Amino acid sequence: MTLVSQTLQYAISGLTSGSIYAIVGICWSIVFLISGVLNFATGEFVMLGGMLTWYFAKSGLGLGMAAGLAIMCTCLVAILLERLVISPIKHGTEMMFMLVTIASASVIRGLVLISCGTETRAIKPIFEAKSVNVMGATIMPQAIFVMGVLGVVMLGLYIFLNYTLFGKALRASSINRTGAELFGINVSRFRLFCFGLAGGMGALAGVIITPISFTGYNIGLVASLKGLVVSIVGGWGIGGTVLSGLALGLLEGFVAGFVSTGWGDALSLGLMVVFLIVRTFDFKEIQRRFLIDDR
Amino acid sequence: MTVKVFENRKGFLFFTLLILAGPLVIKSNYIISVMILIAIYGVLSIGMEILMGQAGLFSLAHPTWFGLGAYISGILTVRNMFPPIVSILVAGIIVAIVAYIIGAPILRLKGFYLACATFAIIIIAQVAASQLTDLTGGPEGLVGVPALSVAGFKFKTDLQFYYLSWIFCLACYLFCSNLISSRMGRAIKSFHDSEVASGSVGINVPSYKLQVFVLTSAMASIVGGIFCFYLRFVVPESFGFLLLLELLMMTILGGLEDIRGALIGTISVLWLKEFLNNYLRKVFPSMSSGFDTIFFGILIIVVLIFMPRGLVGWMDRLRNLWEKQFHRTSGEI
Amino acid sequence: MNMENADNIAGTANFEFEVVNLSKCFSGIRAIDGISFKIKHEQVVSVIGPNGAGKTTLINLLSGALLPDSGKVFFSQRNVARFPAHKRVSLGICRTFQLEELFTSMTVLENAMVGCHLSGNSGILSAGFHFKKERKEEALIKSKAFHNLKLIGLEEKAFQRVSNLPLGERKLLGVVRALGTRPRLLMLDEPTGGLAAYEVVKFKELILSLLQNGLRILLVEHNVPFVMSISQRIIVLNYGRKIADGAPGVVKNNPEVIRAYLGDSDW
Repeated sequence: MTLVSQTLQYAISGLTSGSIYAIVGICWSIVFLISGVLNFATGEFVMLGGMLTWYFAKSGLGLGMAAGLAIMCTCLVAILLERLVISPIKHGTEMMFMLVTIASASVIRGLVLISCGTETRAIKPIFEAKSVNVMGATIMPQAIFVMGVLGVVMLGLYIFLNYTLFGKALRASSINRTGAELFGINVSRFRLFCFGLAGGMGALAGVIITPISFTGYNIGLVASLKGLVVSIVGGWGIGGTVLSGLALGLLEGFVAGFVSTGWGDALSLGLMVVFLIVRTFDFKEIQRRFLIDDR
Repeated sequence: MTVKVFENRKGFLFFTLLILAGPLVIKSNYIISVMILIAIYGVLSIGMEILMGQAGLFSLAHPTWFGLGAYISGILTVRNMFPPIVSILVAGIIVAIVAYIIGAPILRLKGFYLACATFAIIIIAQVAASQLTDLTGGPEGLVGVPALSVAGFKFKTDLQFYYLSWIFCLACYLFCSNLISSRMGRAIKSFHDSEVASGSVGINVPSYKLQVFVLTSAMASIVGGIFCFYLRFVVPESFGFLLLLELLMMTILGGLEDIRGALIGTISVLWLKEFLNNYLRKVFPSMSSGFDTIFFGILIIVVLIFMPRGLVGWMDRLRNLWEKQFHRTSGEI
Repeated sequence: MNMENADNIAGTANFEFEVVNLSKCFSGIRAIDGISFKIKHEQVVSVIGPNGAGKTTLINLLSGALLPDSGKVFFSQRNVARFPAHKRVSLGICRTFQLEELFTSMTVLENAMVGCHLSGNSGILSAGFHFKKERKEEALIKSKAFHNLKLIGLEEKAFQRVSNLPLGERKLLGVVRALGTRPRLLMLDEPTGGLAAYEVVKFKELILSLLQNGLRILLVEHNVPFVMSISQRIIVLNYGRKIADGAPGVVKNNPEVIRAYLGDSDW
């Protein structure tokens, strides 16, 4: 393969996984911004999307039906999570929620492991078309589909948050919870909604990526972490999250293609750590130390 | 709550006697081997309790120090660079240095962000252990670690490791318990409550945070070395997410506020795990693999919702109720 | 009130505290704008001003909770403007907080003992191994802390949790905790906020007894009568700038000060 086609190939695969990271990041952001909960089970929603679709498809349902049912079931799981685990904790700190969602993620993972085993599973792509050859790079139609879904999700969220009453109320309560409550907004119901939304979107991401990169009981952990990295680096806002998701995907794609595949996860996590640390430094202060002599 | 030191030492002495005299009465090798694991994980729990419960530092990197200690002491011995006991100590020093270098920047992060960054370290370390096959033996692990020998005496039986690990564990407990009730311990607790107030009385908070971080990492590393020589092999899976989950379970169940919680939690969780494994094998022979994660997950959730102060908090509440009752009946108000 | 505080206050000769052109901006707003003053002979210098004048920012800058954009702070012949808070404390500058910031997980005595932290220097290893040096230091710190508690009459509540104390006692404890650092200059941040009249009286008694032993005080306050009754000099801030600096009688009649507090009307 020529350099150009290699670059294109890695870029496309990078953008594809980047789109998934972006969606997972949005799931994290929405829940965190509205309810202050760091939901480590977000990755499990992705896993459930893929696994449940495989399961329903295997049981005889058509692909579309299976996917739809899987997304609904995952929504239900997310809502159960909020009702059974998050709500009962009255005075939760971020850490407590983090621990409790890590534990819940464990439970979900264990249940899937017991019922579906350890093998990776696959589902058929949405389009039966063959891969396209562009400038020497092989592009699966599913990859384009994934990026398209990201676009649709972003558009949908944008319209929802800015042009519907419910969406605007949601934004308001993320900025100022007490203020929102004083205006009669039922913030705890919002939290429920956000969990359900995160469940649905996460599952959607899982469904669309599984034809490309398969699924298994344990993909949730890494998916969670990638989404978290992307949210943190993106400053929790939706635009930033999407941008950093795509950037991370691209970076991983190039590193995996041109360097090696083993260190991929370590790279993105390492970047997050470096980013977090660099953020704590006060650069103006450092400049001052070098430039001004205060004797 | 004020720690009544004398009372603590009585309990501790009693416990020590039980531990040291135990094998004379209980000869079962199975029980002894479980107790070895309890001692080893106990040191890790103590470290986590100090970090999270006393200092308020949510550092999740403990499994990594444990793993690094195991790997480094194993590698140094397998390559005949040092005799086993020296390898353990050298590994301890190396890990302390690594923790110092990583800790200085990373401890600038607060709360949740520190947890994320240290979580990332676990994954990065695991990936490194799997990828650096020449050094670590890759995913299959480091095998063929020779027996731990000190001046000719070889540690081969479980009973020998029992005493070795428990003496180290009890020593760590004593050290940390002294630390907590000392001036340094108060300083550490103070910045957990209020960093700004702590600085305002002259406490160098970043420096103390780093010291606690390095101390607990060294403890974890040494016990990792003991672990390595006990098993005679080292694999990356032992130092990952599952271990972190178990450690969190032990500290939370035991109670984050008090160092006794660390040991109580470790003993409870590991015996609960054994009980479950044995019971499960009889009832659901095919289900054991996922069950650990489900069980621990549900247990953490239940404890966090209903018993956030853990078993120690529960014990304290019982004791307060008892004292109130006692005072009432003896006519004092 | 007990007057034996010589142990707490370290040296009063050659006291000099000078602030030169201190400035701090927050997102474009000049919270502190070119403040300069010097304390040499006065025992109590107070800083007053309407809300938002920058009083708490000033204390934060002087104590090290914030770093200034520009300016110098001279104490003990050194420019401490960029020193971290704990380093300033070891030089003798200490502060209390408007919201007490007590250590809520600890008892009253333990709070006072943390205040005396700098009276010892044994490290982690000494503490863990319980060396004799550490044990001696611990006994010393405990007795000092107890002595400090006696100053405010809290020795009987030594083993209670701080959350059980009423506000007045919590504020006093905050001051006593700061005393453990053996300060030469003590900065008090709105200490009488929320106190009842009799609590203010108790507080004033404590301050006066501390002054007897040479402690210098920089008092940031809202309670103007209290300030007038206790200060030798008053600095008035408004919008981050110094608009008056002098004896209480003079400042009280300064038209700009009156305008800043009361608005433009004929009083």
